[in-house]
Amino acid sequence: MESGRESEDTWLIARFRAGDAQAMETLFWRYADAVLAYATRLLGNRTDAEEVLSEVFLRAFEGCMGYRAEGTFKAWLFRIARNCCIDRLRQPRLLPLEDSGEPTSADGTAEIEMRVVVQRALKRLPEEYQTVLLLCDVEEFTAKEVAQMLGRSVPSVKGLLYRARASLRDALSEEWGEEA
Amino acid sequence: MKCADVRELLGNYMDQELTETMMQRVERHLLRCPTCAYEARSLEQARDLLRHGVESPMVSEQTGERILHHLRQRFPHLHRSGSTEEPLSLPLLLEE
Repeated sequence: MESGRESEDTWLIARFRAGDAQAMETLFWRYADAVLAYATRLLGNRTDAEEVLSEVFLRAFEGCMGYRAEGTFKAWLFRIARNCCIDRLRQPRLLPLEDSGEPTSADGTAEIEMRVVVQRALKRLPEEYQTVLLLCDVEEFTAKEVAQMLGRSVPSVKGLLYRARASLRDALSEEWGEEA
Repeated sequence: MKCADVRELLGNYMDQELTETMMQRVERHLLRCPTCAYEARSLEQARDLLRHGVESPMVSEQTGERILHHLRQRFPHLHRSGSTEEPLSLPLLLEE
C-alpha cells in the first residue's frame, strides 16, 4: 500500500509524463537535498556531488517514461544516485577537491570535528559497506527496499549491514585514537 | 541463549525487528554478558555517530535553478500548468 507521499510522487510522475514542467520541479525539490547529501557522503566532496545531482535527475526524468512502480520513487532515485556515484568514483582525478563551503545544517566547531572523523571513518570502509550504512542507517530505507536497490536478498542486506556497522565502529575507534 | 545466538540476532535487535519475546530474551542475555553488551552498545553508538556525524548539505537556490534550467532544456516539450510564481498544488491524498 502506498503512503501519502508515495501516492503524491506517483501523481507527480504522471503529471510530468503529461508534459507538466511544475511536476518535474516539485519532484526535484522534494529530493534534491537528500540526493545531494547521499552523493556528498559517498563521494566525499560537494563539487562532485553537485555534478552527480544533475546527472541523477536527468537520468531519473529520462527514465520516468519507463518507470514502473516497483518500490518507491525515492528508492529508485537513490539507486540511480548510487550508480552515478560509482561511475564518478571510477573516473581518474588529477587533483583532490576541497569542499566548497556552502551551507550545511550544522556549523559548530565540535560538530565539524565530529563530522570530519565520521567522514574519514566512513571513507575507509568498502563501498558496499558505505552504501548499506548510508541507505539503512542514515536515509532509513528498510532492508527490503535496500535489497531491491542492490539486487540482493533481505538476509544478505542484513548480514552486510551488521558487518558494515562493526567495521564502522572499528574505524571510528581508530580515528578517535588518532585524533587524541 | 548463547552468545553466538545473540550475535546472530543483534542486528535485528538494534532495528527492533524481533518479536517482543525475543527482544526480552536478548535483553536478558545482555544484562548478564558484558562482552555481548559491549558489542551491542558499541554498534549502537557507531550508528548514532553516523546519523549525527554525516554532512547534510543543502542544495542552494542558485544550484537548483541551474540544474532545473538544464533539465528544462533537455525536456523542451514541458509546459507550465499555471502561473510560474505559484507552486504546484498536490491532490489531497489521505494516509492509509
